[in-house]
Amino acid sequence: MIRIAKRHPYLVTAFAFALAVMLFFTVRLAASMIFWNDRAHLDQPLAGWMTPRYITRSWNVPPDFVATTLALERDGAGRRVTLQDLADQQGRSLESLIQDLKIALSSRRATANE
Amino acid sequence: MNETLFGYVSTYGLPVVAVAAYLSCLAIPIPTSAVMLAAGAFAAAGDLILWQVVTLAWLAAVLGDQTGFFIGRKGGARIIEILEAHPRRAALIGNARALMQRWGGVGVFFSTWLFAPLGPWVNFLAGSAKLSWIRFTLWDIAGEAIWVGLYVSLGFQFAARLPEITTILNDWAGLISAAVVTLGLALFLLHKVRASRNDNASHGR
Repeated sequence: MIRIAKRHPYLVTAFAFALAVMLFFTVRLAASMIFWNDRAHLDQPLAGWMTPRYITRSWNVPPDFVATTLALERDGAGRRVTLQDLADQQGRSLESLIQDLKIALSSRRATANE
Repeated sequence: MNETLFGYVSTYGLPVVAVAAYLSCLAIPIPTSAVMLAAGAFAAAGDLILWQVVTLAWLAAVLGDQTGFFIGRKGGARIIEILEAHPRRAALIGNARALMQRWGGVGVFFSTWLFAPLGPWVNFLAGSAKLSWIRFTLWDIAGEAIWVGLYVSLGFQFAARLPEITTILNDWAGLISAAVVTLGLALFLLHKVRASRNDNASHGR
């Protein structure tokens, strides 16, 4: 083994490196699979990139719920806006918008479960 | 990182999908799989239209691969000619070319979706080694259809958990590509060791 490594140093180094990368991804994949299977992660934490429609789907609430909560005008244009855009338009911070939306979604979840 | 990309897809929509699909075929390191998954997810939510996403991504990806192939054919072929001046290297290049003629089509096919991170390099090599254009294109069109179809429909299916499915698929793609490279190096190393053993035997050592 050592003799081979001495004769082909670059090749053996490259092989060892590729093997290490492979192991790294194996561990990462296993970790993300475990995370995926954890039911506690089912509701997506709200983030600036999400659109109202995306949240509607992710949290499985009626189509109008998010739009009503965010006081969106329904102009029928079907334009995509993200939560970040909405916060900017309404002149408030993204955190406070997410906070309000989270409270609304959680209370809706609580009443739906009763 | 991924969240910024999702933001681009939700804000700008289809152009982002097309540009990402095109550039990823040219070895420009943008996580296009995340963009495809996001496009599928926003299609599921109703923010994008599914058939538009799929058609555009597919066309852009094939166009990107074509660009890589022709860069290889124009630029890479010249580099190979210079390298071939040396007789020992010429033999090695001859082997590589024979390998490409024999397995190139299948290689292109799998490198578009199964070993996607290797894709741009395979396109470039295929162009440099003078793989026939029609063979390249047919395998490529088939492979990209699988890649786009797979990622967009996974995004569509698991839209509600977009960040997590993205992480899983990135790890999976990394693992498969690393495994291919590891296996390739192992075979090459084995070949080298055998060759030097035979050398030793013939010299009576």
